[in-house]
Amino acid sequence: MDKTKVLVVDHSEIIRQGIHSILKAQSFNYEVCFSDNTREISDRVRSGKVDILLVNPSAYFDSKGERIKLLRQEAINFGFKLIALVYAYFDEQLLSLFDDVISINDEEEKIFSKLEKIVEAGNASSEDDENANLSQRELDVVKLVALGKSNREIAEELFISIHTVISHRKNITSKLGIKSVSGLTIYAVINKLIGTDDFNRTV
Amino acid sequence: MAHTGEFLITGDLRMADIIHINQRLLLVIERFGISLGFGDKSIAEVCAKHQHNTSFVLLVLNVFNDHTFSVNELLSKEYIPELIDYLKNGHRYFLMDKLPYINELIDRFIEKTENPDTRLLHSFFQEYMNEVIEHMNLEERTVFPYILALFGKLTGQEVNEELLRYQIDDFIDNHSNIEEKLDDLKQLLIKHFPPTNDRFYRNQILFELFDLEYDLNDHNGLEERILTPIVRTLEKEAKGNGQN
Repeated sequence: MDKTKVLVVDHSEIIRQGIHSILKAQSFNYEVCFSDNTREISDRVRSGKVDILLVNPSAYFDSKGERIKLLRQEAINFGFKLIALVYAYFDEQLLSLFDDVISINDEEEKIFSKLEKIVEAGNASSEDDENANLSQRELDVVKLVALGKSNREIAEELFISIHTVISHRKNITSKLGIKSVSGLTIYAVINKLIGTDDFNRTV
Repeated sequence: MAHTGEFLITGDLRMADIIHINQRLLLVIERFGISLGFGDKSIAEVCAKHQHNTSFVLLVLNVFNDHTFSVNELLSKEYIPELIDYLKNGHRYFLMDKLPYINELIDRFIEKTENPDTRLLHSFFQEYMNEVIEHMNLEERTVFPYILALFGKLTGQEVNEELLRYQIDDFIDNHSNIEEKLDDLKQLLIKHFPPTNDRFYRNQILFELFDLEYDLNDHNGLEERILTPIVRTLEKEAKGNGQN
């Protein structure tokens, strides 16, 4: 299997070296490189040399999150995963644009399990990348909506605020073009997020 | 398919000619109970034969033909009974003909294609149909009787006063749920279902859904642009100017 190519974008040399040594120490499956230069990042991403872009949102920060949105779009267009590397507070809505979030306080194991999950999700959907449009978090939300859960229940289950659930649902609707719960349920079945039995139970 | 004509329809035009120009008008004349086979008769002649008020028929034809057609000067409370009949015929068409037909196409699609997930479309469409039925039944059970009672009162008929307790603003509802599901169904068929070995029925369903959407918009447009303004005037007359 090819190594997963991770490009780390962070201003801090300490953080970069830290990530590097964690990934190297635990596994040979990752190839890590760094950059600080937006053009260089963009070139690498476009040439398909990146599987995961691990990026500190503050490197791309502006008040409306427009640059992160562009990055999100590039992730969809060029088929890489976008992970936030955070050590400060960021708005949940901004973080919802990422496929996952790694906090600087996360344990090594947790970091690996997140990366693995992302890599697996990438492999699973590489045949049809319909799902590539939705972040992992959004897929979680679609699944729970499809199972007939209310916003409050979803919030409790995913440990996020109702406000965040609502904003995920808005994003889901604008990405998929599907508004109704039954429509999302069908989407969830087609994409194997839930089984047909679940569908019959909810509809 | 979506055709908006830029010509004014007048009573002296031949009925056959306007259909050649805009085939969607077939739906309108059908709802007036006018059958095809009218030879070279003009619109006015066809209306007279069917005992329709020509100016009302022209109003509806023009609104359907040209969505920018200005109706303000042309609204009359005399149109109410015919308008309600017309809308009821529209409902009958949706409920008895159009929706069952699409339902049938969906079942054929499910049969032809080998993807078991497509079966979900059946229950989804049932759910959608139930919403449409419920919405249209509500109009027929409450809104239309209210409007007819209001009209009756103003024309000196005995009416059930109980019916007059409503006002039209109570019914200005959202057609949005219905539109939402229709849209979702299109999205699912266009974008989200993986390629199926049957393409013919999948396309036919989509053609029908686009057509249905267009037609429902026209139908709702008639309610919003013609029915509601007339009823507002009736309410003012019947219930006095001071109160709504």
